[in-house]
Amino acid sequence: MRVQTYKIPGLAVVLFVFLSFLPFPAKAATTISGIISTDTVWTAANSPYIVNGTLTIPTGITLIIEQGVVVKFIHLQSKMNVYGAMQVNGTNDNKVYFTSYKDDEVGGDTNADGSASLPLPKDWRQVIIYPGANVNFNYSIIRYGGNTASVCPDYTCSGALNNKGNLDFSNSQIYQTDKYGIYQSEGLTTADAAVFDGQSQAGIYVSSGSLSVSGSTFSNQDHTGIIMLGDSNFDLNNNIFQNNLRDVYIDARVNFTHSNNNSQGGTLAGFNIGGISRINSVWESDNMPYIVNGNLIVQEDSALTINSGVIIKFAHNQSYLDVRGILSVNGEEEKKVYFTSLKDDEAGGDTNGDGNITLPAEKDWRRILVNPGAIANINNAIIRYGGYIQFNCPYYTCYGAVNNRGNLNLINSEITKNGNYGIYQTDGISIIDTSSISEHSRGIYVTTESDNLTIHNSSIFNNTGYGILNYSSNTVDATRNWWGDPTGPYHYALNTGGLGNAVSDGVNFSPWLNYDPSVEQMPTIENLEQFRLIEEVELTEGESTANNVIILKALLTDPNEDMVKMQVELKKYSQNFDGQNLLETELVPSGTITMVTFTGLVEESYKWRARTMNENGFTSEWQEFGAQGNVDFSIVPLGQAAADLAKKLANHPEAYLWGGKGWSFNQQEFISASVILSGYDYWNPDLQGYDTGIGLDCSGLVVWSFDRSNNPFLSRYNNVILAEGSNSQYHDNSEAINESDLQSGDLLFFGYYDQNKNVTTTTHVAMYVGNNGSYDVVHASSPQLGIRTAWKDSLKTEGNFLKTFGFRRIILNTELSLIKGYIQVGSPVDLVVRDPNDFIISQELYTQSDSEYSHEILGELYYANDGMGSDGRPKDMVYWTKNKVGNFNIQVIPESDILLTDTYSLEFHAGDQVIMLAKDLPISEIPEKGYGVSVSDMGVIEEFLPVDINIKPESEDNTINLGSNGSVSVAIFGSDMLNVRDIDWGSVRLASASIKLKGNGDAIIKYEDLNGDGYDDVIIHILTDAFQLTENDVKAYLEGQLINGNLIKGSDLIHVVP
Amino acid sequence: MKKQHSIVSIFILIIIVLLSVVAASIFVYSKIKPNTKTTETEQKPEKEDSMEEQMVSTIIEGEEYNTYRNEEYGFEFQFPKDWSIKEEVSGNYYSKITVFSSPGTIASTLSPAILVNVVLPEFADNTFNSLNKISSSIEVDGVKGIKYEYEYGGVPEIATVVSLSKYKIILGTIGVRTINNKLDFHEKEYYNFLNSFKFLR
Repeated sequence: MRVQTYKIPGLAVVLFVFLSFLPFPAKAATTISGIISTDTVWTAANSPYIVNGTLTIPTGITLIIEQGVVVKFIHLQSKMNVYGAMQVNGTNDNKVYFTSYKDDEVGGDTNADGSASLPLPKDWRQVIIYPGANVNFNYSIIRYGGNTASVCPDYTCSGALNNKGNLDFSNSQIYQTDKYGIYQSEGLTTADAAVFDGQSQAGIYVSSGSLSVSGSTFSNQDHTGIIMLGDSNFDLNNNIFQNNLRDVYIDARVNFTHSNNNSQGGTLAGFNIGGISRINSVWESDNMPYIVNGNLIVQEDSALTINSGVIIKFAHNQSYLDVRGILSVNGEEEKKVYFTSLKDDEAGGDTNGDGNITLPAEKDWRRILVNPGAIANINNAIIRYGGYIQFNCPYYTCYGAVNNRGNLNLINSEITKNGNYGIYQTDGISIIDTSSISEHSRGIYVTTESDNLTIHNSSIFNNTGYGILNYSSNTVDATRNWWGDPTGPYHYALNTGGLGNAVSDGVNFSPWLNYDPSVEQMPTIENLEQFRLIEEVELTEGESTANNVIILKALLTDPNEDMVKMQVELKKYSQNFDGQNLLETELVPSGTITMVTFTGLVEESYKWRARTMNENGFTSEWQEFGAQGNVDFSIVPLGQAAADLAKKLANHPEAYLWGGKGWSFNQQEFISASVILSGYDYWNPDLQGYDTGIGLDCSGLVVWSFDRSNNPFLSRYNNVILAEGSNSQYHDNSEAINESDLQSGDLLFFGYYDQNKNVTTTTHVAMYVGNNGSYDVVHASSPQLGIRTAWKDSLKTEGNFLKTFGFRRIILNTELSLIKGYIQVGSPVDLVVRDPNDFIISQELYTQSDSEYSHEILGELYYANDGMGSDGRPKDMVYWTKNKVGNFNIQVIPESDILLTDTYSLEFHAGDQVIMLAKDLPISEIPEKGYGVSVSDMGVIEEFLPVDINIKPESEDNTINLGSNGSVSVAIFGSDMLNVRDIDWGSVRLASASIKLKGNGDAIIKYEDLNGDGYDDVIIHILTDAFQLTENDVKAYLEGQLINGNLIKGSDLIHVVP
Repeated sequence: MKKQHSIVSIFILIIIVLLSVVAASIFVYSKIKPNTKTTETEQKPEKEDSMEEQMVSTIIEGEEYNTYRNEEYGFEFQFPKDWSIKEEVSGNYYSKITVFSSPGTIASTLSPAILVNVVLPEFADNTFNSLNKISSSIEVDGVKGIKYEYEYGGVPEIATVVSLSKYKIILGTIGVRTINNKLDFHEKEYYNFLNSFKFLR
């Protein structure tokens, strides 16, 4: 391999090193001065541009400076005057520089002196924007300018001077420019994402015009970041102020809007404001406080509105707010407005930038002075650390953190730690509510000249001398306040036991509050109650119920009268409370009993707890219903619920009650066990009227326990146990079961079998309630034995226990015949009812058994008196439990002690249909023949007029010979309700056979008063061969209509011969 | 072989003699022992232990009538020898002890021919209030009481209430309808029972 080598001469190396240190310009420069007469573009290729003296861009001319251009100003008086337009188009990577000729960092060593000269502030003057000029700096850096002309005003010491032009300074920086970054004498300046650093007077100084600054940083300002003077507009958003002596100063006349500005490390870190406010100023909250350094005056014709969250700090003990117009402070509960000391770091942070070196104290600033005629509406404000009294100040303006001589309305606010006086009122009117005044020598001082002052619902405490000291002739209305102690304020004569703040004469302080309304009082919950089905049916602790609708109620209160709601946690007993799955009510006023309803709960044992939450989210402690850890209620089958209810009547010294069914006619309710044991109104069969007694009879125990368990407010006719007596419960409302299948709520029946009648008659019923260790049966035994417990195994050995079918289970009323029905008549009448099978029941017909009262034709008709009419007399009711199809005849019998003007009402129910047969009808108008109602096999009911008929009136014998080919005479008797001449003869049928006609088609009829009752009767004739009868029929029915369409029906016994 | 038969015969004879002696002894003992016994009046269901915890009474047998004596509450009465007695104790708060007696082997607790119910006074004061009854004064063993006669549910009942220390005692009889609607009412036996009733202190 061949290696080639080169030799470098030693002299060449030395020359290279020498030349390398010569001060050669970095590149070619363009020197420029004078006037640019045409639109011009400066490019990076020709950069740097060296301005020698004054470069003027006249009106109508545009200079465009492209990215990467460096503009260097050659000496102290070099500047740019822009009358036309200048567009600086730097980019983030290639910025445009406006800098000193000595600045070698950009554009190279333009002055070719190596490091012999270094750039400094004031190496050149500035860019001046003249009226009408438009200058846009984008991604530019202006540095080392700000030189003062030999005879020039102060404002010339800036990087850029906006003199009535339009300046847009975006993404750009100004630093090392001596006094000001941008100085605007007038015009419009916009700065966005700009940086102003190290100016000695201000980053931006605006004497007049408009300024909009956003996203920018003002740092290391030796005096102020931004100064805004005059009647200018100032919009300041999203900026950062760092390590400035003073961040922003704003003349109070400036129209100032702002948001989201932040300060770091300054010493007057906020919006320093002073002077006379604009006519209408609105202060909004920001991350920086307002600082009043001196005084701020709201003039007579002006209004200052301070909205929620604004923090106002007063810089020193001469600072104050002088209200001569209107001050509106609109704080909110969670965003109060603060009036406080500059040293108060707890509000608005460390505004004076001294850490914890200085602490706020009373009298750090002066006061809010409400002058005569002025209005101060202060809501949700905190006023503290004021109250400084300057020397030689007249008393009527110089005392108190709030000095009122005008109209002061103060609510939801706190005045504290202000030295001698919280509120000092020399004249004017003050209305104070829901506020606190604390930690002064005198909380409120009212001078002799003062007008009215009222204060309510407020806290006046820890004021060492007086809470309120009143020297005026007007009484201070100060009722319903907290004075620091529940014993109320101390008054030397009126309340010597008061341990709260003292009050002078002329203060009406009673009644006072015994709690501090300024401290959030926790809401409370009490009176927890549980109900089933509806609000009126209380469910006691541990009670079981068959109703799966549970209502939970409680009384909610809040000491501060906040709105409240109830939160409920319902858990299965086996589960732990975990604060999850809460059910809550709507917000309601304090003091409301509120409730929640649970539906569809499954059979289970439950526990629940509740608490109150107020509108502010504060809650009471959880309170568990009843004893902690207990089952509060259980959803169980109806039989179990009935058995549990029956057990409540066992083992009490109260009596058995013959006729007692647990239904109170006064309350119209199946009453509670406790009422049964204390006495209630019931139907006494011996008295044939209502009586008061204690207890139940045996079948009553069954009716009551089931029907009350189901719904206490439904009478048994619409409840689950319809049958009143044990016999009907045996036959109509139960079915036999095996002893081995017994469940709680099942029944044991006792009685006898009548061989002659082939019927079982029960005389007693007992309820199986499940084995609880001491008994498994509860029964209402007899007057001599009471309502007792027993063992099923013992009772079944009784001689009259029905061994074959004696164990039975209730069939609910709802499962009985669909067109069972009842007839109900309001007092003062009784009923006699004949059903389609000719069973007749009346008030006088009783059936009695060993252990109960009953009033029935077993399995057919039942008579009851357990409702009450509007006149206080018992309603009479006849009911049946199975389908009855055909004609009912209802007679209404007046009771003995009534007037003919008394009235009654009569209803007929079958299935879901009702006919009102009489409504408030006078006794005198009771129809002689009563009322008729027919029930079809489809359950359709229809009213008819009962009529008396007599088949073959001419003889005693009612024999009908079907083969005679003759006719049968029938008498139809008129009555008070029936004029026989009104009968539509074409509609009349007897056993489906129509009336015999003459040859001319007219009916063969004859009118006469057959029975001498004064009413016309009529005789008609029916052809025998048209009868739809058989030899088994014993009764024939007549049906027809009156001319007006009303139905008539009657019947008579017959003997049919084929 | 014959000898073996003799031995067996002697052994059988000894057995017969021993059995005869035992039977004679039982007979003699039964003739000379006191005619008093503490009785479990009838077989009770096991579950009833808590209701009929312990019999505190004694039954003294007689020729035609037995005597029921209750030392705790201090009374006694006679009942026909062929009737049964049943007690319920602590079954109910208001009823301290209830004694039932009826003909036959099991005393009815629903319709007893004779009933003694020691109760809290308020029970006796309340329970007859609602009835349509005939009230009359009566003396039981020299203690004044009140007798209620009433027809109740189609059957007659009689109840006599007298004071017994801090309690009251109901002495009653309850009729009952039996098969074919036959009325079973022991009025005569009831008055015999009243006449025999004695307070022990």
